[in-house]
Amino acid sequence: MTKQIKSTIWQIVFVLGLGACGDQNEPDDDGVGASSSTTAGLSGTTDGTPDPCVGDLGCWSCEPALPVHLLNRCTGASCEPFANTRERLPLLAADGSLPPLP
Amino acid sequence: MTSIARLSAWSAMLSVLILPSTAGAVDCTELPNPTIGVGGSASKPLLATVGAALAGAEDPLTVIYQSPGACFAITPYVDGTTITGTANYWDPDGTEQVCDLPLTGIVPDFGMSGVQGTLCEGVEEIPAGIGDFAGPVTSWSILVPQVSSQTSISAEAVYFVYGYGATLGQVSPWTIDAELYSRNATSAALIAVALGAGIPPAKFKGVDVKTNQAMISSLAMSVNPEAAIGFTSTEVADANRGSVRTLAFQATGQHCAYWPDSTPTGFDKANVRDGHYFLWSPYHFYVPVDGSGVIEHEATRKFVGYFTGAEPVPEEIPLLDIIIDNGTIPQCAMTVWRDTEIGPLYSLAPDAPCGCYYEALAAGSTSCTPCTDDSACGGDAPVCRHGYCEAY
Repeated sequence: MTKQIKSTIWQIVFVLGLGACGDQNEPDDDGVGASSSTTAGLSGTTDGTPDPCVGDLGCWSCEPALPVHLLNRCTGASCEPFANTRERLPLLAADGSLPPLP
Repeated sequence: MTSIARLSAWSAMLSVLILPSTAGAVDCTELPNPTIGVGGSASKPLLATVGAALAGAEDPLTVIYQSPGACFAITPYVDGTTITGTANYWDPDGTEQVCDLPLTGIVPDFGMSGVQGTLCEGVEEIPAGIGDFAGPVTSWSILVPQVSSQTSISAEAVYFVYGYGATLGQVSPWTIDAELYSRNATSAALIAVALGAGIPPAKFKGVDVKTNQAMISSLAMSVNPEAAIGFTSTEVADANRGSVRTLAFQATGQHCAYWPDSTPTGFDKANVRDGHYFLWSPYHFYVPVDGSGVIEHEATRKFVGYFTGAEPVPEEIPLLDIIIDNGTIPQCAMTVWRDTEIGPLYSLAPDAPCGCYYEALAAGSTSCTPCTDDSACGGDAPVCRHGYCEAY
């Protein structure tokens, strides 16, 4: 599959994701609701400059160095974002974290 | 009649009344070259096909298996309980048969589990003298009825649904407790899904349906299909695609939910193999070993060795094909691995990659170049393996 097709697929996925997640909390550097040490951020460098390994559509385009890179590596596979928002998950804390289980 | 004769007659009569109705079934230990195992039901379809092939081999080996639950693969070696009752074995034509285990019980020759044994209650560590051998990879599917409109779920959603219960969890549409299908804590599927969502297995909610098949039928016959949710191994899910559908799964820290396959209707397991689909585990063989880590029981050493590569597979046994056809993934087709159950991933370069062959067989096609030897290969894929050019 060509990069262009992959890019197009990611654009479609990204647009659908935005549409489905109107009020989605932007992931922090550790990802939504994360408690795992594997969730280093993909959303940019610490000084705010764009990360060359993160494409416009959020997937990781460089060689993976961290587990989270493997999870989010750019691919031609189909995917469908799930909206981890308080609208969908009413018990989600305001900061996007998970409350303790009862 | 003498008193001894009367006693014998009564004993015979009582034994007929008390013994299970399998009286007349064969003694498991008397089958040809038996290897007797115990563990979860997820691996049983694979063992059935392998068992049939080995039973029909020139030097036959009989795979005998009892499947009370994944954790039973290790607990006999921890607490000394033996296995009794009946077990299954397979004829060369694949017919499942029943045999009797000794009344006094036996220590199993091997245990087979879809998750690490230390995740089972009461198992602090793998006992000394028990080897842990990695088998092929299975993945775990979170399922909805085929008629459900739902297509994806996140680890966070699973946390609320199965951690709080359907009603309390408030994750629409999975808000009806009676439609929250589950297993018990000896199930590898439950342990794996629980780990993927950060739920301690002891706190996992839902109605225990006890078996994979009951999970499928509960979902298929649900009176509230939009609210129904469950889980099984992906092999079982794939075999029942007419009734159930695997949800795409979005792991913590992941930006999108992925199916095990690159498309919802495919069979290539591309996302399991490259790490996009998070819920997968290698099967574990737990086996008594000697001080050098070698399996002591000959038939078991061969059986497990065929999977690990320690023993050459007889040419008449198409083990790689059997594994792939079953929907299980050989390690040679994986490009990621993990050292802890449902834990962090790292890149893997298998010694002799077979990803191309896997795709060709599992998905029916591959973009890899076919070959008969290395001369047909080149560039980024210079080595011919299993009829296709691989990277090395």
